[in-house]
Amino acid sequence: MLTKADKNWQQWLYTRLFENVPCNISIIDRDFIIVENNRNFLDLFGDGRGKKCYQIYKRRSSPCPECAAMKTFQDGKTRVNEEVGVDRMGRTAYYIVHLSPIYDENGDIPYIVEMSTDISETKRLQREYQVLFERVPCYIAVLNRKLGIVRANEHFRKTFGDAIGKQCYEVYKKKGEKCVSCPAELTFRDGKVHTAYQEGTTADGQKTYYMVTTSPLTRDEDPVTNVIEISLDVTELRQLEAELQQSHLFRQKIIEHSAYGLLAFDTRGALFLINPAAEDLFKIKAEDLIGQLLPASLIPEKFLTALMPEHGTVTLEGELTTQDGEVVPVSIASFGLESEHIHIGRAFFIHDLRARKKLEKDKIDAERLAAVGQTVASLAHGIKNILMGLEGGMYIMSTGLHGGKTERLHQGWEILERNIGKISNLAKNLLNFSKGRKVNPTLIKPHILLRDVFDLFQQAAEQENIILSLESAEDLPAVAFDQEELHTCLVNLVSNAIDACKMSVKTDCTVVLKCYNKDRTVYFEICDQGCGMDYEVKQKVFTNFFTTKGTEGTGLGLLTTRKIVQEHGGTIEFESIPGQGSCFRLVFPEDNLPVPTHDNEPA
Amino acid sequence: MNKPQDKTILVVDDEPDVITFLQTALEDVGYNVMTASNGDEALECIKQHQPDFISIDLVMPRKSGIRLIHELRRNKDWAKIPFIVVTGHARDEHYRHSLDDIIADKQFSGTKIYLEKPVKAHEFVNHVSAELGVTLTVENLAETNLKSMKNEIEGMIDATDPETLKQVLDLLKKKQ
Repeated sequence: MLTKADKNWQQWLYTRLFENVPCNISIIDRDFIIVENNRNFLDLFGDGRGKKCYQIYKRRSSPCPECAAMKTFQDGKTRVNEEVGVDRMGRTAYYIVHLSPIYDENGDIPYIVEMSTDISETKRLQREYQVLFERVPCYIAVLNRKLGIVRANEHFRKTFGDAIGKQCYEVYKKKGEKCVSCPAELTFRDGKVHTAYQEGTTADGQKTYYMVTTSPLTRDEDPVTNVIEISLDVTELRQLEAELQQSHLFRQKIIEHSAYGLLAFDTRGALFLINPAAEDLFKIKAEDLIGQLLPASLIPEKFLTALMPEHGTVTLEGELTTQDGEVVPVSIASFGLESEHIHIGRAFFIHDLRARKKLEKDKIDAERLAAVGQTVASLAHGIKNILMGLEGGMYIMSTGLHGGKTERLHQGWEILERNIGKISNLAKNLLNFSKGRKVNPTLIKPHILLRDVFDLFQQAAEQENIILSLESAEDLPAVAFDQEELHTCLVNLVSNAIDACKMSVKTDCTVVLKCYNKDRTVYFEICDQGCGMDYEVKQKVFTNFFTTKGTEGTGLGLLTTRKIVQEHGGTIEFESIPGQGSCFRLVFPEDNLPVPTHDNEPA
Repeated sequence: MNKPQDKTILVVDDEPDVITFLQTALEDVGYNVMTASNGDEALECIKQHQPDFISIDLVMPRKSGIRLIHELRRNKDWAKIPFIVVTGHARDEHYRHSLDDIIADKQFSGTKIYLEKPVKAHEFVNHVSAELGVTLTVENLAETNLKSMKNEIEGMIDATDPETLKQVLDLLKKKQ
């Protein structure tokens, strides 16, 4: 190492300086050839010695237009310029270049020193901030002390309109004067950050709501020259809040005024909601139940368990007991309070069935009364034919007596006897029908009921060349029926089927007796291949005294059958195609069957 | 002058006793009578021998009376045959409108369109005869009346000798 004492020390020092100074130095001659460059230059642009400056700096093949060095060669003035070039890796380089002429003894300028500082990093940061400023999804505006807007980002401009140069209150609020409590003013005064909730008007004249934060743009400067305002739009939030309030109110009112009792349970099964209708139903106060599991004294355990599946909806009929011991028939719809992501618990809608059950009973009673009432009115039909018969019998007897024709006496007497018999039959049937016998249900296997009827009609069917067939499983479980009444129904249906076959023109007709159990419902089916029923007949088939069997039918059969079926909580259906046959079906849901009066062993 | 012997009446009713009654009453005054117990049979009879008059019952299996009337009207020749409906359903809700329809349709012939059961023999016979323009002689009319019959029987019993009465009684007992 050279020391001060050495002759070349200064030169050495200057060389060191040349290499170490923290900028890129190159020296070019009048032909734009780089004669010397320092280490930093080399690192950035590569070794340029002997090459054209425009080639090294910018990868150009010709001098740059408006070349600053050229001008300096001519006028000897120093220049500073911001340039864009290409570094040795091919990346864009931003730099500020400082050009200085080197004079020789004659006053000419043989060389120019170019000193450049790389500002690429700075440039990039600048660009990033610019993007941030423009694109951030809130409004940004920069104000001067006069509250004029000097800068505004894209979002701001899009929402509020052209802003630069205008007053902030003009742009934000479309007002002619300053706001009363302007947060920007406060910041200008005390240099601190302030926030406020503001209501403004957009460029389209819409109301908009935003939270504004004002902050001094330059730090520790006194007084503050610029304030930056950042505003977050809360219009949608406000709307959501309002909607939520409405929704909440709606929910409250619906729950309060629902006619159905409503109970809601959390995931543990504890009650967290009970509405006034449910309170009335159970005759209990909400505070006595909230937070606890529902006691078995109100809803029996079995019923409650059935109503609490893991997921999904279930609707069941059952009974609940009120606080003071009254038993109430109810229908409860239980559904999960859950969606894909949320699981709150379960809720019940409770429907008090007392009114409906009473209506059902009233309806059955009314129907029977109506039938009896109709009976009296329709009596005329049966009676008229009988009277005709009596009239005929008397005429024949009378003319027989007059004319001495003894065969007429016999004939007339027979007719009289027959019709008097019909009257007593009619009277008996009517009395039976209107009496409303008390149902006496006992446990019996459906197969046995059907088989008994099958046995009863077998012979008669054979005589008429009608094929009777029994399709029923012996192992169908016993259920509660009034045996005598069910027997009457089945006899009526089979008898009708056989008559239909007799009336048909077909030579061999089949009557099928079926019974089966599906979905906890007992079905009896009697199907025939007889004459079938056309539209007219189908309409009237359950009408009082309607019979297509002439005087053979009392017209009461199907009515009685239907009454018995109804008393067992069942329904009767039929299908019929004229010329092809009919099918009558008795449908008895097991849940509707009466409770057996004795716990007999199934017969 | 029209005589009953020249006329043929068709009586249609599903009730055998009614047929016997009406047939006997008509034959007693000299009419020729065909009978049928349902609409199909009735049409068969008409095809074989066209009657001069038809007595129809409304409610019957296999072609009710109404259907039969419609069928008759469809045929040129048959539509002209006068008929009467003898029914027990005149005031019945179900059949009232069917009856109204028949009356409303101006194609019927005859003054009275229906007779309500029970009918008296002489009413029936008189009406048929009036429609056909047949005059009945007094002897042809037969009257039945429970009271008169009772009186008649009483009178005859009084007038008869015990022997004949006994025979009658035996006959009756046998028939039972």
